Amino acid sequence: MTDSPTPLAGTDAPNPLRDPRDRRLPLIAGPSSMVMFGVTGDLARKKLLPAIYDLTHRGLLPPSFGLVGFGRRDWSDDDFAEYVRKSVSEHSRTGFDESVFEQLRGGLRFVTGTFDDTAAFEKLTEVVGELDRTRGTGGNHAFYLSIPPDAFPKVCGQLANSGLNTPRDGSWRRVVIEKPFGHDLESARELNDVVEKVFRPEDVFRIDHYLGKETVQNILALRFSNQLFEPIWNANYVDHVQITMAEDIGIGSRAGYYDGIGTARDVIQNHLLQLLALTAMEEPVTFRASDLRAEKEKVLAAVELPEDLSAHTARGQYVGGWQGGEEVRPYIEEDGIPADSTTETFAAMRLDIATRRWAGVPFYLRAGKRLGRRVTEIAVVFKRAPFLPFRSTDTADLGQNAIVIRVQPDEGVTMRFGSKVPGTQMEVRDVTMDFAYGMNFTEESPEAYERLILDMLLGDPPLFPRQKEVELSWQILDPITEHWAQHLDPSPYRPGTWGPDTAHEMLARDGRTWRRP
Amino acid sequence: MITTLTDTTASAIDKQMIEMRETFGANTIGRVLTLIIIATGDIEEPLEAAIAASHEHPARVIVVDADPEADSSGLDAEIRVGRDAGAGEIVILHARGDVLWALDTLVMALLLPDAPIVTWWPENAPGSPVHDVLGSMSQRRITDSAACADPLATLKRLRRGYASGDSDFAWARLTRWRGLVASAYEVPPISTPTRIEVSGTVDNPSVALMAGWLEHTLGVEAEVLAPPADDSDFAGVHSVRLVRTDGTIDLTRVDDASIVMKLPGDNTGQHVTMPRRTLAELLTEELRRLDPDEVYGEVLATTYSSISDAATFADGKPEPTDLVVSDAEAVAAAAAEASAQQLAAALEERALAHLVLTGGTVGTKTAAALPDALEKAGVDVTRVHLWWGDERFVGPDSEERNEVGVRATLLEPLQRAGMPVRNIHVMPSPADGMSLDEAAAWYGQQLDQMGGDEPFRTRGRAFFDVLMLGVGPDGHVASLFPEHRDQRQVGASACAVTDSPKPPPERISLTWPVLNSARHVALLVAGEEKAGAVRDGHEGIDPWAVPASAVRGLESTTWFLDEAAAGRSAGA
Repeated sequence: MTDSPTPLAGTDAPNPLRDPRDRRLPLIAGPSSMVMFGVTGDLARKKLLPAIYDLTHRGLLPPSFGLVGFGRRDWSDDDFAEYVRKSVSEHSRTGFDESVFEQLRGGLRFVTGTFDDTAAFEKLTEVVGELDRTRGTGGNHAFYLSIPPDAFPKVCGQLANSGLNTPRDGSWRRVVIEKPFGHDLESARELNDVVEKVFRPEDVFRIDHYLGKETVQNILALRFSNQLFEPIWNANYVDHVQITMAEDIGIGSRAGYYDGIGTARDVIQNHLLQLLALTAMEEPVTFRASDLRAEKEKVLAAVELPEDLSAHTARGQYVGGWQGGEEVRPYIEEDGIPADSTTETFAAMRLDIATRRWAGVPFYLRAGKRLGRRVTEIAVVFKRAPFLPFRSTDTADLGQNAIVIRVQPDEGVTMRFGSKVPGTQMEVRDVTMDFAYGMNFTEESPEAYERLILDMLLGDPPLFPRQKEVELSWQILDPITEHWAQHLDPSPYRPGTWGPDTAHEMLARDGRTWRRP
Repeated sequence: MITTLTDTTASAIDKQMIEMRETFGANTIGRVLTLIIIATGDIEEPLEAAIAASHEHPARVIVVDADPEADSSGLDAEIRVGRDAGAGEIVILHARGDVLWALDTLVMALLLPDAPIVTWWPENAPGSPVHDVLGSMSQRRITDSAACADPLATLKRLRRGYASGDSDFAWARLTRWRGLVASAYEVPPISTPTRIEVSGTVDNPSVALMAGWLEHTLGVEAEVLAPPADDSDFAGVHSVRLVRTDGTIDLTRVDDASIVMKLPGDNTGQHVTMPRRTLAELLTEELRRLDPDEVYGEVLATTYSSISDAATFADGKPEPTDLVVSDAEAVAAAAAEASAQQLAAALEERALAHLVLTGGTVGTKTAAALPDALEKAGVDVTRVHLWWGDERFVGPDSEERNEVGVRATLLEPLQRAGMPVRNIHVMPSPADGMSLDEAAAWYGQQLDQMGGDEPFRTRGRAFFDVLMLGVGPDGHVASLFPEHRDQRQVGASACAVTDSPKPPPERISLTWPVLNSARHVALLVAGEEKAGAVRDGHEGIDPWAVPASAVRGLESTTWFLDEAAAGRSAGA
């Protein structure tokens, strides 16, 4: 998170060439390789391989970097290289350059095998050793598990058996896992036990690509580098907070995963609760991983659920119809979804935070598929001014002040406040002042995966959630999903709208309305 | 879209920009900085780089396209917004003639409120960026020594004039090199190298900075070698070798796109793609942080740690000669005649000649003798520029001013003979609305501007044709006094002097590098009380103790002495 150089891996001796004030000096990952499981998957093809190439292009990976693919296909190293070339030339952000690819290509290896195949893991051990000898990867290896969680036990077991999980002196072994980190508290613990039996907790990197997004980090910059916002960032001035993550698409090809999981587990447990934590947490002592985590964990632990879950949560499922000029199917008719599915595609909930800062300020979270438009934002809505020295007709158009942090797309910050309408005697209406990162900084901003992979190779953990946060999130969510399973079926909503009526009623009960993002 | 304004003013441009914003909605709100580009040649190349950089750092870009020698004075402007300006907005100022005398007021109205200012000289770096009128109001000052006529000399000069906030593209060109060297250094087992070699083009400033950086950070002397002979057309850093007890780390550029890195125990090496950086990449990197690059400052200081001595400016030039005549009147006559002939000779070779005047009794007498001498030598005074070596910072009509002392005897006759007022470069007074520091910076700017890329930058190039200096009994010249802190300002072209030992206390003086950029130096001395200073002035170059010893002309230095000053008065 900070740009300050980290100490060298495996040694405490600082590098005299790295002066903390020398902020031009790029932080290049040390000698290392990455072993990727699930390399033929969509994520690897569209995001991970291009991210590795882009890092190479930006000169941030060591020249010796090795990349080992592991999969069922009967591929030679050259076949794998062709596959990587195709993926990279189609999806890289920085443009394809033959000479960059050649540099990467020297370290490409492929091992054929299944997760049961002990011989294949022996082969993998050999290949990794060969990389250490011929490329100089220095015994530092990361294992990227881009595979379904139910395959984790097998892979982790094989890695342990072959000794690949154990670093030699001064080197490291790390494992990268992707969300979902379980589907409830119990499964999250089981999953974690499997991984942490094989790797030390500090060597487990949970990738939530949402946290690699520049704007999420910008929330921290906005809150903690300014004097302007912090004094009013509390229950004295804030009326409530709305956190929205809306998608305009349906579930697409994710039926197999999505059904039975639903929106709450899919995105609220991780993304929205992380956004809530970043918005609500106290100032960390430093931006070191442990300090940042301590504050996030504190605020997550202080989250309280409403007593009447039926009244203060909402659950929806999209029906079919026309959405923005396109006829779409209802959820229950999507490929691979059973017709009687009660999985929600929209979820909303009120959460309270039992701290002095936030007492009485509800946080409303909502997320869903097939909503009005694609947007993720945090809206901090302020109380009305306690006294207005105007006639009530003058301020009829005046709403509540708000600071809106837009996470995606069109990242930026909007402030809404009252201003006099020009030319009239005295009429006040809401105006918005907009700051767009798109206009200011983002054009060159790296893809989230680039940042996360580089941070992982550098061993710089602030952007990665730890198991404690994962468990705390499930503790918040589990009672709600249990309640839903027993008492609350999803209400239907038209595609392209902002969710079911129950969501609007839920806010109406508190005398509020959802913001239209 | 592009809008052109002819014969305009800064406030009219500002008004036009606000109008364009209201009409087309192009907004200034999101701009993070104002980038001023001081162009002397082609403006499109730097402009393209600025447009590319604007995608990461939306800026208002002000291009000053200066033509100081234009016949007429005036300002034309071109405003580009929208598609023609990337994510920024661009104002191109074509400034001609005297408009450039107040360059700061030209851009003042166009700066973004409150936003940081970055000034970039794509080619001709100023004498000292921070002493430039635009540089002094900027947070960051970017030069490109490699694009200057004499890159190494430019870098040395930048070092002398360094101030926090300066940076140079020669340093930014090294960033990826340095990143790679730093990570190669981390290959265990880490140990301090016993030997460091940097090879590359000998006169390349990046090579010098690379060696300086390694020396500064590792505390080991870095040897600079020429690139292998078969690579003679090579530019920049060719290789870096860190020799450690366990082996050698070797990084060598093999072509324009890549280098090969060899670590201890690896003889084949690994290919690393590292294309040369484009202007846009360099500028983008520079704009990423607007706080001072302290590391660059320290490296620059290490790189040329031996050149801060003011004596180097006078060193290596012809030895002075003496011309002894009977009295002060004769000194003035001889000096005036010699100077007139030198100016006449200068005008035969060049379009303009530059004469620096001095004050004091003999100086004033010499000035009074000049109009006749110039006429006799056939000097076309319309082509002569007059400057002053120093001036007292007092009211414009005060008798204490050197300029006032020659107004009636020199300036008025010359103007009658056709010398234009703009050729007479009077040092500012408090009545000009400037503080002492601003006045000195302004005068330095005038000198820098007139001189183009040539003067003061480097020891050894001439700008003035004749420089006259009086010498005080204490040995001071201009307003550089013995053992006075203000004589140490070698970065600027003109400096402010406070606490002068001789009243009045506030003065403006030319500095060592400028005083030492004349073809002919005439030291004008008369009177017994100066005999000691004259004697000391002949004893070898010592600027700190005897300022009169440390100004020398490239072609000649002459002491014009009367017999008393020469120590011969008592019938010696």
